[in-house]
Amino acid sequence: MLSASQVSSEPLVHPIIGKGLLAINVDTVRNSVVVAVLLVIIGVVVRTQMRPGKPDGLQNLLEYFVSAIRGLVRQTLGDRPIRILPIVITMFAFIFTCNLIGLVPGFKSPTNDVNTTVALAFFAIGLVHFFSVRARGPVGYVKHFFSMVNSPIGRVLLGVLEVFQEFVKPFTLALRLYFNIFVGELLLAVILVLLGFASPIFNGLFWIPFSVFIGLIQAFIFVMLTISYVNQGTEVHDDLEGSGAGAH
Amino acid sequence: MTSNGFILGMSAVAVGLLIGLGALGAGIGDGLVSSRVVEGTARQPEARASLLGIMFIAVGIIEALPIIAVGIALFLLFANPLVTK
Repeated sequence: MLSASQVSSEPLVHPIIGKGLLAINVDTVRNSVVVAVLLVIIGVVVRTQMRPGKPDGLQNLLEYFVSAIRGLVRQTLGDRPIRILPIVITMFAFIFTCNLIGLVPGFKSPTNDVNTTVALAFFAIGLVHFFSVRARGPVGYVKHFFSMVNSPIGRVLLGVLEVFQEFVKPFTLALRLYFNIFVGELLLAVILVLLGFASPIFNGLFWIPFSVFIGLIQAFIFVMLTISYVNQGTEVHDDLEGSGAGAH
Repeated sequence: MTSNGFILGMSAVAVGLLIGLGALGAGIGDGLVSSRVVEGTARQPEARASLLGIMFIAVGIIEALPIIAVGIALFLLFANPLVTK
Protein backbone atom coordinates (compact mmCIF):
# COMPACT_ATOMS: atom_id res chain seq x y z
CA MET A 1 0.00 0.00 0.00
CA LEU A 2 2.29 2.71 1.28
CA SER A 3 5.75 2.26 -0.07
CA ALA A 4 8.92 4.22 0.06
CA SER A 5 8.77 5.06 -3.62
CA GLN A 6 5.43 6.85 -3.23
CA VAL A 7 6.62 9.21 -0.53
CA SER A 8 8.86 11.91 -1.89
CA SER A 9 12.25 11.47 -0.28
CA GLU A 10 12.89 15.20 -0.65
CA PRO A 11 12.84 16.00 3.11
CA LEU A 12 15.26 13.15 3.79
CA VAL A 13 17.98 13.76 1.25
CA HIS A 14 20.30 16.73 1.06
CA PRO A 15 22.26 17.40 -2.11
CA ILE A 16 25.93 17.27 -1.14
CA ILE A 17 29.14 18.85 -2.36
CA GLY A 18 32.35 17.19 -1.25
CA LYS A 19 33.02 13.94 0.56
CA GLY A 20 33.19 12.54 4.06
CA LEU A 21 33.66 15.03 6.86
CA LEU A 22 34.02 17.94 4.46
CA ALA A 23 30.69 17.30 2.76
CA ILE A 24 28.52 20.41 2.51
CA ASN A 25 24.75 20.20 2.38
CA VAL A 26 24.04 22.70 -0.35
CA ASP A 27 20.36 23.32 0.40
CA THR A 28 21.00 23.86 4.10
CA VAL A 29 23.64 26.47 3.38
CA ARG A 30 21.45 28.15 0.76
CA ASN A 31 18.42 28.29 3.05
CA SER A 32 20.48 29.51 6.01
CA VAL A 33 21.76 32.36 3.87
CA VAL A 34 18.21 33.11 2.74
CA VAL A 35 17.05 33.20 6.36
CA ALA A 36 19.93 35.45 7.38
CA VAL A 37 19.32 37.88 4.51
CA LEU A 38 15.60 37.87 5.26
CA LEU A 39 16.24 38.71 8.90
CA VAL A 40 18.59 41.55 7.97
CA ILE A 41 16.02 42.95 5.53
CA ILE A 42 13.25 42.71 8.13
CA GLY A 43 15.53 44.40 10.65
CA VAL A 44 16.40 47.26 8.30
CA VAL A 45 12.79 47.77 7.20
CA VAL A 46 11.43 47.78 10.73
CA ARG A 47 14.22 50.09 11.88
CA THR A 48 13.56 52.65 9.17
CA GLN A 49 9.80 52.63 9.71
CA MET A 50 10.03 52.51 13.48
CA ARG A 51 7.55 54.65 15.37
CA PRO A 52 8.55 54.72 19.04
CA GLY A 53 5.57 54.56 21.35
CA LYS A 54 3.14 53.75 18.56
CA PRO A 55 4.10 50.31 17.30
CA ASP A 56 2.02 48.69 14.59
CA GLY A 57 2.17 45.58 12.45
CA LEU A 58 5.57 43.98 12.23
CA GLN A 59 7.11 46.29 14.80
CA ASN A 60 4.45 45.24 17.27
CA LEU A 61 5.19 41.56 16.68
CA LEU A 62 8.93 41.99 17.03
CA GLU A 63 8.54 44.09 20.17
CA TYR A 64 6.38 41.34 21.63
CA PHE A 65 9.05 38.71 21.03
CA VAL A 66 11.85 40.93 22.29
CA SER A 67 10.02 41.88 25.46
CA ALA A 68 8.99 38.26 26.09
CA ILE A 69 12.59 37.07 25.87
CA ARG A 70 13.87 40.04 27.86
CA GLY A 71 11.35 39.19 30.58
CA LEU A 72 12.53 35.60 30.53
CA VAL A 73 16.19 36.60 30.84
CA ARG A 74 15.47 39.02 33.68
CA GLN A 75 13.29 36.47 35.47
CA THR A 76 15.89 33.72 35.19
CA LEU A 77 19.16 35.58 35.66
CA GLY A 78 17.96 38.36 37.92
CA ASP A 79 20.35 41.30 38.05
CA ARG A 80 23.53 39.31 37.56
CA PRO A 81 25.84 41.05 35.08
CA ILE A 82 25.45 38.59 32.23
CA ARG A 83 24.87 40.24 28.87
CA ILE A 84 23.18 37.38 27.08
CA LEU A 85 20.06 39.12 25.80
CA PRO A 86 21.17 40.24 22.28
CA ILE A 87 22.67 36.89 21.37
CA VAL A 88 19.68 35.00 22.73
CA ILE A 89 17.25 37.14 20.75
CA THR A 90 19.35 36.58 17.64
CA MET A 91 19.27 32.84 18.21
CA PHE A 92 15.53 32.89 18.70
CA ALA A 93 14.94 34.91 15.55
CA PHE A 94 17.22 32.69 13.49
CA ILE A 95 15.77 29.40 14.73
CA PHE A 96 12.17 30.56 14.46
CA THR A 97 12.65 31.83 10.90
CA CYS A 98 14.49 28.64 10.00
CA ASN A 99 11.58 26.59 11.30
CA LEU A 100 9.06 28.65 9.35
CA ILE A 101 10.86 28.78 6.02
CA GLY A 102 10.52 25.02 5.60
CA LEU A 103 6.77 25.46 5.25
CA VAL A 104 7.24 27.64 2.16
CA PRO A 105 7.21 25.48 -0.98
CA GLY A 106 10.66 25.28 -2.55
CA PHE A 107 12.48 25.76 0.73
CA LYS A 108 13.62 23.38 3.42
CA SER A 109 14.26 24.34 7.01
CA PRO A 110 17.96 24.64 7.76
CA THR A 111 16.97 23.15 11.13
CA ASN A 112 15.81 20.12 9.17
CA ASP A 113 19.51 19.23 8.99
CA VAL A 114 21.18 17.74 12.05
CA ASN A 115 24.37 19.66 11.25
CA THR A 116 22.64 23.01 11.80
CA THR A 117 21.06 22.07 15.08
CA VAL A 118 24.22 20.46 16.47
CA ALA A 119 26.18 23.59 15.52
CA LEU A 120 23.60 25.81 17.21
CA ALA A 121 23.59 23.61 20.31
CA PHE A 122 27.39 23.56 20.57
CA PHE A 123 27.34 27.33 20.24
CA ALA A 124 24.75 27.61 23.02
CA ILE A 125 26.60 25.25 25.35
CA GLY A 126 29.88 26.99 24.53
CA LEU A 127 28.21 30.18 25.67
CA VAL A 128 27.21 28.45 28.92
CA HIS A 129 30.79 27.37 29.64
CA PHE A 130 32.16 30.79 28.68
CA PHE A 131 29.90 32.54 31.15
CA SER A 132 30.50 29.79 33.72
CA VAL A 133 34.27 30.26 33.62
CA ARG A 134 33.86 34.01 33.74
CA ALA A 135 31.53 33.92 36.73
CA ARG A 136 33.40 31.32 38.78
CA GLY A 137 36.96 31.58 37.63
CA PRO A 138 38.80 28.58 36.13
CA VAL A 139 39.33 26.88 39.50
CA GLY A 140 35.79 27.38 40.69
CA TYR A 141 34.57 26.16 37.30
CA VAL A 142 36.34 22.82 37.70
CA LYS A 143 35.55 22.56 41.40
CA HIS A 144 31.86 23.10 40.79
CA PHE A 145 31.51 19.72 39.10
CA PHE A 146 32.82 17.96 42.20
CA SER A 147 30.91 19.79 44.91
CA MET A 148 27.54 18.08 44.96
CA VAL A 149 27.65 16.06 48.20
CA ASN A 150 29.78 15.82 51.30
CA SER A 151 31.39 12.39 51.04
CA PRO A 152 34.50 12.24 48.84
CA ILE A 153 33.41 9.08 46.98
CA GLY A 154 30.02 10.58 46.27
CA ARG A 155 31.70 13.72 45.00
CA VAL A 156 33.77 11.78 42.48
CA LEU A 157 30.85 9.63 41.32
CA LEU A 158 28.43 12.53 40.99
CA GLY A 159 31.18 14.65 39.48
CA VAL A 160 31.69 12.12 36.70
CA LEU A 161 27.95 12.14 36.13
CA GLU A 162 27.92 15.94 36.05
CA VAL A 163 30.73 16.06 33.49
CA PHE A 164 28.95 13.43 31.41
CA GLN A 165 25.79 15.50 31.60
CA GLU A 166 27.68 18.46 30.18
CA PHE A 167 28.49 16.35 27.14
CA VAL A 168 24.90 15.13 26.78
CA LYS A 169 23.34 18.61 27.01
CA PRO A 170 24.20 19.84 23.48
CA PHE A 171 22.94 16.62 21.92
CA THR A 172 19.56 16.64 23.65
CA LEU A 173 19.27 20.31 22.73
CA ALA A 174 20.16 19.60 19.10
CA LEU A 175 18.13 16.44 18.61
CA ARG A 176 14.99 17.93 20.16
CA LEU A 177 14.99 20.76 17.65
CA TYR A 178 16.13 18.62 14.71
CA PHE A 179 13.57 15.84 15.06
CA ASN A 180 10.66 18.18 15.73
CA ILE A 181 11.26 20.09 12.50
CA PHE A 182 12.37 17.08 10.50
CA VAL A 183 9.35 14.98 11.41
CA GLY A 184 7.03 17.92 10.78
CA GLU A 185 8.29 18.29 7.24
CA LEU A 186 8.47 14.58 6.54
CA LEU A 187 4.90 14.12 7.75
CA LEU A 188 3.81 16.76 5.22
CA ALA A 189 5.04 14.39 2.52
CA VAL A 190 3.56 11.33 4.25
CA ILE A 191 0.14 12.98 4.63
CA LEU A 192 0.26 13.83 0.94
CA VAL A 193 0.41 10.12 0.11
CA LEU A 194 -1.88 8.85 2.87
CA LEU A 195 -4.76 11.26 2.34
CA GLY A 196 -4.47 11.84 -1.40
CA PHE A 197 -6.90 14.48 -2.62
CA ALA A 198 -7.88 15.47 0.94
CA SER A 199 -4.31 16.21 1.94
CA PRO A 200 -4.24 19.94 1.01
CA ILE A 201 -7.25 20.50 3.25
CA PHE A 202 -5.74 18.60 6.15
CA ASN A 203 -2.30 20.11 5.68
CA GLY A 204 -3.60 23.64 5.26
CA LEU A 205 -6.11 23.52 8.07
CA PHE A 206 -4.26 21.47 10.67
CA TRP A 207 -0.72 20.41 10.00
CA ILE A 208 0.84 23.65 8.75
CA PRO A 209 -0.64 25.81 11.54
CA PHE A 210 0.48 23.12 13.98
CA SER A 211 3.96 23.20 12.44
CA VAL A 212 4.12 26.97 12.86
CA PHE A 213 3.15 26.50 16.49
CA ILE A 214 5.74 23.73 16.97
CA GLY A 215 8.39 25.90 15.31
CA LEU A 216 7.64 28.76 17.68
CA ILE A 217 7.57 26.52 20.76
CA GLN A 218 10.78 24.72 19.83
CA ALA A 219 12.65 27.97 19.11
CA PHE A 220 11.44 29.29 22.44
CA ILE A 221 12.40 26.10 24.28
CA PHE A 222 15.87 26.16 22.73
CA VAL A 223 16.42 29.70 23.90
CA MET A 224 14.84 29.10 27.29
CA LEU A 225 16.99 26.05 27.98
CA THR A 226 20.07 28.01 26.93
CA ILE A 227 19.19 30.74 29.39
CA SER A 228 18.50 28.30 32.21
CA TYR A 229 21.74 26.42 31.51
CA VAL A 230 23.57 29.74 31.70
CA ASN A 231 21.76 30.36 34.96
CA GLN A 232 22.84 26.98 36.35
CA GLY A 233 26.37 27.52 35.13
CA THR A 234 26.80 30.95 36.69
CA GLU A 235 25.24 30.37 40.09
CA VAL A 236 27.90 30.94 42.70
CA HIS A 237 27.36 29.23 46.04
CA ASP A 238 29.58 29.22 49.05
CA ASP A 239 28.02 26.10 50.50
CA LEU A 240 26.88 22.88 48.85
CA GLU A 241 24.64 22.95 45.82
CA GLY A 242 21.06 22.35 46.85
CA SER A 243 19.32 21.57 43.60
CA GLY A 244 21.71 19.51 41.49
CA ALA A 245 19.96 18.23 38.39
CA GLY A 246 18.25 20.73 36.15
CA ALA A 247 15.94 20.72 33.17
CA HIS A 248 16.64 18.33 30.35
CA MET B 1 22.38 -12.94 6.85
CA THR B 2 18.69 -12.31 7.30
CA SER B 3 16.38 -11.58 4.42
CA ASN B 4 15.12 -8.11 3.65
CA GLY B 5 11.53 -9.28 4.13
CA PHE B 6 12.25 -10.37 7.69
CA ILE B 7 14.00 -7.06 8.44
CA LEU B 8 11.15 -5.04 6.98
CA GLY B 9 8.55 -7.03 8.92
CA MET B 10 10.43 -6.59 12.17
CA SER B 11 10.88 -2.91 11.32
CA ALA B 12 7.13 -2.58 10.95
CA VAL B 13 6.66 -4.10 14.43
CA ALA B 14 9.33 -1.75 15.77
CA VAL B 15 7.63 1.24 14.15
CA GLY B 16 4.35 0.30 15.83
CA LEU B 17 6.04 -0.07 19.21
CA LEU B 18 8.01 3.16 18.81
CA ILE B 19 5.04 5.31 17.90
CA GLY B 20 2.61 3.57 20.26
CA LEU B 21 4.76 3.55 23.38
CA GLY B 22 6.06 7.04 22.66
CA ALA B 23 2.54 8.35 22.34
CA LEU B 24 1.51 6.48 25.51
CA GLY B 25 4.24 8.02 27.64
CA ALA B 26 3.84 11.48 26.22
CA GLY B 27 0.07 11.25 26.65
CA ILE B 28 0.46 10.44 30.34
CA GLY B 29 2.97 13.25 30.74
CA ASP B 30 0.83 15.80 28.90
CA GLY B 31 -2.17 14.75 30.97
CA LEU B 32 -0.31 15.24 34.23
CA VAL B 33 0.94 18.68 33.18
CA SER B 34 -2.44 19.83 31.89
CA SER B 35 -4.33 18.59 34.93
CA ARG B 36 -2.02 20.51 37.24
CA VAL B 37 -2.47 23.62 35.10
CA VAL B 38 -6.25 23.25 35.36
CA GLU B 39 -5.97 22.84 39.12
CA GLY B 40 -3.71 25.85 39.38
CA THR B 41 -6.01 27.97 37.24
CA ALA B 42 -9.03 26.95 39.31
CA ARG B 43 -7.23 27.88 42.50
CA GLN B 44 -5.70 31.11 41.20
CA PRO B 45 -7.47 32.37 38.08
CA GLU B 46 -5.23 35.44 37.81
CA ALA B 47 -2.17 33.20 37.30
CA ARG B 48 -3.71 31.72 34.14
CA ALA B 49 -1.51 33.51 31.60
CA SER B 50 1.82 32.62 33.18
CA LEU B 51 0.67 29.06 33.89
CA LEU B 52 -0.29 28.62 30.23
CA GLY B 53 3.15 29.81 29.12
CA ILE B 54 4.88 27.38 31.45
CA MET B 55 2.53 24.61 30.34
CA PHE B 56 3.35 25.07 26.66
CA ILE B 57 7.06 24.94 27.39
CA ALA B 58 6.68 21.80 29.51
CA VAL B 59 4.47 20.15 26.91
CA GLY B 60 6.98 21.09 24.21
CA ILE B 61 9.78 19.41 26.12
CA ILE B 62 7.66 16.33 26.77
CA GLU B 63 6.51 16.13 23.16
CA ALA B 64 10.10 16.10 21.93
CA LEU B 65 10.60 12.48 22.97
CA PRO B 66 7.72 10.91 20.99
CA ILE B 67 8.69 13.14 18.06
CA ILE B 68 12.18 11.65 18.20
CA ALA B 69 10.57 8.20 18.34
CA VAL B 70 8.43 9.02 15.31
CA GLY B 71 11.51 10.30 13.50
CA ILE B 72 13.39 7.06 14.08
CA ALA B 73 10.25 5.14 13.10
CA LEU B 74 9.96 7.03 9.82
CA PHE B 75 13.63 6.37 9.14
CA LEU B 76 12.95 2.67 9.61
CA LEU B 77 9.94 2.85 7.28
CA PHE B 78 11.25 4.94 4.41
CA ALA B 79 15.04 4.77 4.58
CA ASN B 80 15.75 1.57 6.47
CA PRO B 81 19.51 1.39 7.03
CA LEU B 82 19.41 -2.35 7.82
CA VAL B 83 18.02 -3.44 4.47
CA THR B 84 20.68 -4.53 1.99
CA LYS B 85 20.07 -3.05 -1.41
